[in-house]
Amino acid sequence: MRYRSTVRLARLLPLAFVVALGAAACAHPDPTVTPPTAVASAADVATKLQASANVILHAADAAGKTANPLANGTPLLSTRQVDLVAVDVYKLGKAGKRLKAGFDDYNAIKQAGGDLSAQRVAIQQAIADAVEALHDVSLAVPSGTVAAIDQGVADALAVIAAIKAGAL
Amino acid sequence: MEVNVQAVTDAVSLVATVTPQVLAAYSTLKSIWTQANPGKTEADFLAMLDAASQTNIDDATAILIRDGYSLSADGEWQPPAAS
Repeated sequence: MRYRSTVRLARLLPLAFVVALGAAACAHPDPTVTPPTAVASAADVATKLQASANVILHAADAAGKTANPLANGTPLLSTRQVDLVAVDVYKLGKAGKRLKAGFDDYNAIKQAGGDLSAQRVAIQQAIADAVEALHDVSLAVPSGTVAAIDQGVADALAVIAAIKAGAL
Repeated sequence: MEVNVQAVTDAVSLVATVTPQVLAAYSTLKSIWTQANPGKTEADFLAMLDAASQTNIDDATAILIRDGYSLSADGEWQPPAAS
């Protein structure tokens, strides 16, 4: 019986972790201070996604080194789980680099008066890749730790919608 | 469901271990999402995106290499061979 209670408790603790991180991610930036251009706004959100993912990466790494006294001292996250998060964050970083390159191309072509259709598609794809990488983190870590970045994903989707609407 | 002294002790021990990490992550994420960058140009924002992306690539690479992974020619991470 005691085993069951401790197992239940062990399952609840990650939920507490998620709730706390989710609350943090729901904080909104000051709406009175906005980036100077649409591209800068998109880059700002993408940067915050990258920074949030970095926090999650190091939190996962720390959890992989933290003993769980309810499970005979085994780590809170397995090495495999930490590594899956690392692979996803790596992909996110790569998507961020592609996004930055896409913005550079977009600006260059816009300045030259060219057709921006291909650049909009490339930017959308890079953002979609970043969102997918963030989603994959939730598959690697139990109890939906992706809740910590729900707001970031929502903002990324808003950026995609803005790009589709021709805001860029 | 039986709750005995040892179960409570174990739970308190785990909460005490994890809580500082949760609070630190909470503070950091809140700081990130409330951060404003007044006076910055578009080029500044693009540079910040580039730097943050590179940081994730570097930090993730360090963890994966530490754990025995290798990066294949097609850019995919390969887990260490089972021993």
